[in-house]
Amino acid sequence: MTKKKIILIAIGIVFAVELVLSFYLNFSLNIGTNPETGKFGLYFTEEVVPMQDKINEETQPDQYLMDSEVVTKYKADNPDWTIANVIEKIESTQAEEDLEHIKEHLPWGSTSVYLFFHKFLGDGKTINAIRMIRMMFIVDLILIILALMVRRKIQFKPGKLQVATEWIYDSFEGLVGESLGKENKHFTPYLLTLFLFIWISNMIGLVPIPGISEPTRNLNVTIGLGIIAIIVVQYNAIKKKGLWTHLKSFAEPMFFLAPLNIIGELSKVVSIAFRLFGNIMGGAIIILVVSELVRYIMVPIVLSGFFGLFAGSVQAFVFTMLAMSYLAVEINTEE
Amino acid sequence: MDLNQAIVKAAALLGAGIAMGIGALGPGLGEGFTAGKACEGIARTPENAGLITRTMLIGQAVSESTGIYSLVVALLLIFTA
Amino acid sequence: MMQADSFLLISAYLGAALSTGLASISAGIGEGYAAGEAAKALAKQPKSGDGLLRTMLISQAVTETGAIFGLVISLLLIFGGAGHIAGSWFKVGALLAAGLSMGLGSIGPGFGAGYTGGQACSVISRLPKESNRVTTNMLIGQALAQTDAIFALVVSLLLLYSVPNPTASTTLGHFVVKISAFLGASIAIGIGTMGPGMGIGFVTGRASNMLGRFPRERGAISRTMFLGAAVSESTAIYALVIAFLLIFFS
Repeated sequence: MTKKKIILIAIGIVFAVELVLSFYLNFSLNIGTNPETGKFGLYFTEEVVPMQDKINEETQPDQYLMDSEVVTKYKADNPDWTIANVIEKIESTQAEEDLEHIKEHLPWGSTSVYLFFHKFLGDGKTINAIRMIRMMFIVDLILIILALMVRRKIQFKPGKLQVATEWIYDSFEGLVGESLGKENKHFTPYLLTLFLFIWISNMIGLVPIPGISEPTRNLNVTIGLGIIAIIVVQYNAIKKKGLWTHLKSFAEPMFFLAPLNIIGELSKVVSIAFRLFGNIMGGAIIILVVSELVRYIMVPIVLSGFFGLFAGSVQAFVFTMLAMSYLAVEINTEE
Repeated sequence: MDLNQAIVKAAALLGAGIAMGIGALGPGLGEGFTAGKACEGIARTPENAGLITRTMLIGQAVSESTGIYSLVVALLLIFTA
Repeated sequence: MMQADSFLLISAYLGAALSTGLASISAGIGEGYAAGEAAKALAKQPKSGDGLLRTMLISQAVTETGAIFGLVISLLLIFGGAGHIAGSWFKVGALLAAGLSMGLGSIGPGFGAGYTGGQACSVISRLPKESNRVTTNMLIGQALAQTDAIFALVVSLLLLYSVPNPTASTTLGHFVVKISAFLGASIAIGIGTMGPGMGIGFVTGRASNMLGRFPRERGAISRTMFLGAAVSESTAIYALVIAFLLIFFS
């Protein structure tokens, strides 16, 4: 029997065990004295999986904090308090246990950071915004450090990093040249930056550290990217065709269809933004639920491989290709 | 909420779902057909790739307009009814 | 008002039946199409047996993904503790809607992935040399088609687990509105993914076929395939937006 076969059989056994385990969806296996019979050994206890809490915590962290026990306890007396008021009250009364509980929900477990951002953002958005800004900074830092590393060592006889970077740039330039035409190669830096930003954003979710999540999981990021893409398209269309001709193209085929044409233009933003968001967020939710069901055995790795590596790369590529093709339709109209 | 109002609102929300659901059927199929034929065209005459791609995108944009109409109708149903 | 608790189990079991039942329709037809094309191809080129069999099996496994999603949702509905949830009429609608959305949502992607698999099988028999490349392209295409099923799965998981608890003012009217919003969301995403699923399947199927016949143009073909599939998906994304709005903002 070859090594390959043994590995395959081992994987098969692990999957079979998982399959059996995952049928006991409400049960967890314990070792110890069974409280019902008093015997020592293995026994099952029934538990309701707190999936609802987990998904709420992941997708709506601020709402989750607002509904948490500590906040509702303080809010019962003063219904018009914001969370900032609650935190200040807890800190002033030195209620250690409540402080611990509320710190579990906050980013970095720090109340001062939360209070600082709360001044600008208010109750419903702060944690989400802090998470997003934090991850955006990390992605930007990675990109800047990569750029500096490549820039510092440009030589006539290229090293490995330089070869890789040049290969990426060249192949992207070829792609841009094919779709936009040879004279429009100056769009390559923008499109490549877009691709690298989204790709690194999607890949960063593979890092198994709590608190690290894809910034593209936040709708604000993807809609922002989509709006920038459409602004670039419209600006270049006006530059190429002239303002009046471009505006007239909205009134085709009939002038009263202009509102629908404008909605069609806006729906491009919706479509590219939600495509990226839906895929990344969907992957995150599915990984969360399935990991909980199989008790974090093996399957999450396979799922991360599919949703993180495959779907992440494909969606980054598709976003860039769509931005490029919107550009192509607008600036290559006459030939 | 009054029960009569509630029934109207409920019908509007259900209608929004049906409008978007069935409205997405046609454009999805049509755009897929367009893109499939474009793939064939590009494979057979690769020198016309740019032209074919552009035609495909414009054709898809036109077939998608009915999908956008159903999106607009669904949004109107959700937010105004 | 009637007790919600007894209706919770009824709607959970009904949802479970709808989920697997509807999801299996297209998986069966799609896999049958792939197998039929493979058999036809084998009759023409009896020598291409091994590669063909492998491609057929892989394509069928991927085609089945939608049905497996349906099975997962059914299992969650049956074993997922519907009996333990404190009874509320919100949940009654949400459980039924979760099953319906997953069941309807797997139909289109199943047909699409099956078509892609069949086209790949039929071209592999002609040019067995391109077998690996065609199989890779077929897998990517089927994964693209299954994206729509994943949208439906997300909506149904959200319906299962993230339905808001009833607030203080829960009148009968409120429940009617909420339940119909959930059903509307499931119909939107369920039927809304049918067209795009089949459409993407057609794109990737034709692309796989052409890739096998004209291997030199593979760059241009696969690029067009990605672009065409992405644009075909946009109506499914509109349906996803409407479903989110109906679940969270109604």
